[in-house]
Amino acid sequence: MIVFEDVTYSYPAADVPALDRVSVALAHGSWTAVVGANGSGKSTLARLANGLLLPSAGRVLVDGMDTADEGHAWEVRSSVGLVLQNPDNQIVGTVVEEDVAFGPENLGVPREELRLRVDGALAAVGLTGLERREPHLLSEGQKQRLAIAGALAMKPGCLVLDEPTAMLDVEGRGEVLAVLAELRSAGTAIIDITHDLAEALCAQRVIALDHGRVAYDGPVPELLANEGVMCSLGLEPPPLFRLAAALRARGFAIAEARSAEDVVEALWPS
Amino acid sequence: MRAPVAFGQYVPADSPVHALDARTKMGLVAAFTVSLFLMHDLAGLAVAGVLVALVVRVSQVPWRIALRGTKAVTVILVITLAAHALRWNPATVSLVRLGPLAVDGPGLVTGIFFAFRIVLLVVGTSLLTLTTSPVALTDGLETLMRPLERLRFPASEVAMMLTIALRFIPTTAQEAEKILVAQTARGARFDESGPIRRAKAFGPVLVPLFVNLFRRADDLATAMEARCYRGGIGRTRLHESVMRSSDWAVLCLGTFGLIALGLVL
Repeated sequence: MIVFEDVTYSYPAADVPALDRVSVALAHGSWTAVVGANGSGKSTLARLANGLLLPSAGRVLVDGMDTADEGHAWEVRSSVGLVLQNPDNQIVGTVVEEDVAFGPENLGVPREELRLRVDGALAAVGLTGLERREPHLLSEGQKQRLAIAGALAMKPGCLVLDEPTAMLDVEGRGEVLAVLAELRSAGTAIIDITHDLAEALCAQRVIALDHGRVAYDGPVPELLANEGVMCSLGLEPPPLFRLAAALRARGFAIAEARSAEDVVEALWPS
Repeated sequence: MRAPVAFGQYVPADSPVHALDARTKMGLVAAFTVSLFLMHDLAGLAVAGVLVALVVRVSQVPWRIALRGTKAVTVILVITLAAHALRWNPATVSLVRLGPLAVDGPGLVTGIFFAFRIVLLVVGTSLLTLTTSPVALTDGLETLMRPLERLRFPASEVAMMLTIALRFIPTTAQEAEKILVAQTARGARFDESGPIRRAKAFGPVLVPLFVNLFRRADDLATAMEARCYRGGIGRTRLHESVMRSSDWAVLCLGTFGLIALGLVL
C-alpha cells in the first residue's frame, strides 16, 4: 500500500512544482496506470514512491513507513521496485543471474537464499535457462523482463514501472505486459506509467496527471469516454477504442473494447 | 549485422588452466616473472620456454593467439637484438662484417637472451588474460584487494566499477556501431586517409556516444539506488570465487618450483 498525502515536489531551481498537492492511495494487488503528457510529473511520482526523491511538502507512506524516515530507506526501496524505460541502462551484472542478484546482494541476503530468490525471479519473468547469458545478447523484451526480475528479487509488494514498454517492439511489449498481468494475479501491485492508452486498458484504474496535478482518477473506459478530460490532457483514445465508438454510432452493440478479441466477439459471436 | 563485438583476449575453453582460480594464476604469473629475472643464461630460459609451451598446449589456446602479444613488442625486440649484437668497426673478430658494421658473437648471444626473455614474459603473462574471463579476473582482484579496506581503500567499490565497465563495453560498442552507421547515412566519411583526418572524422561519433554515456550513467545510478546499492557495506555475493585445495596445491608447488628453477639455472 502506497499512500501519497498532499504531496508537493519541486526540483531544485524550478519555479513550478513537478507535483502539486497530490493525494492518492495505491492498494496491494491492483494495477494502476499513470498517464499524462511529458513533464506532467509522472516520473517524479515514480521516484517519490520508493523514496529516491523526498516530498518538498506532504508525505509518502509505504506500508505505513514514511519514505522521509532514513531508518526505513532500504525497506521502502525493496518493497517498491522501480523499473525504468531503457532496459540497457539499468542492468548492472555481466551475466543475467548476477544482475538479478544485485538487489538482494545489497540487502545482505545470505547466499543460499540469494540462489532461491534469483531462480524464483527468473522463473516469474520466464527467463529460466538464460542464467549465464550476457545481457547484451538478450532481446529488448528479454532485457526488460530481466530488469523486472531484478526488482522482483527484492520481494517487493509493489512494482513501479516508468514507461517500461516505450522502447520495445510489439513482441517485447506483449511479453512484458503478460509478465505484469501474471505478477498482479500473484498479488503484486503494478503501477504502470505509460504514454500508451491501449496499455492503460490493462489497468483497473487510471490516474491522469496534468501539470503536476491529478486531473482524473478512476476506471479507464470512463476516462476514454470522457472527451472533455481527454482533450484537455491532450490524450488520444487508442485506435481500437475509436473504432468501437464508430461502430457503436452505427448501431453495433459493443459493450467493451479492451482488446481486439472483445470487438471481434461482439461483432461475430463464436 | 556484424558478429557480436568481441572484447578482451579471453579464449573460452574447458581446460585445467581455465579451471584454476584467477588468484592462483596471478600468483603463478608473478612467480614466473621473478623466476625469469633470476635466470642468467639461455639454458634457463629454454627450460622456461618449454614450460610456457606446455601450458599453452594444456590450455588449448591456439599458438597464433598465444603469440599475438609479441607483435606489439617487435620493435623492442629488434632494438634489443641490434643494441647487443651490432658493433661499429670493432677491433675484435666478428661473425659477419658488412663494411664497418659487424655482428659480434657474444653480443648476439646476449641479445638473444634478452629478446627471448621479453618474448617469454609477454607470452607467459598474456596466458593469464587468455585463460581467465574478465569477470573472474575482477572477482579475483576484489578478494586480493580486500585486505586494503583496512587502510580505507574502497576495494569493493573499485571492483563494482570494473564490473560495470565490463558490463557496458559491449553495449557501448554496439551503440558506437549504430552511430557510425547513422553518421555515414548523413554523409560522414570514415574512409579518408591520414591519421589526423581520420581522428577528426570520429568526432561526430564520439560526441553523441559520450552524451549518451552520461545519460546512461544517470539512469544507472537511479537504478542502482532503487535496488538499494550503498557501497560495499553488508553486501553478500551470489558467487564467491573459492580457492580449492587443488588451487592451493598448484599455487604453492608452482611458486616454489618456479623460484627454485630461477635460482638454480
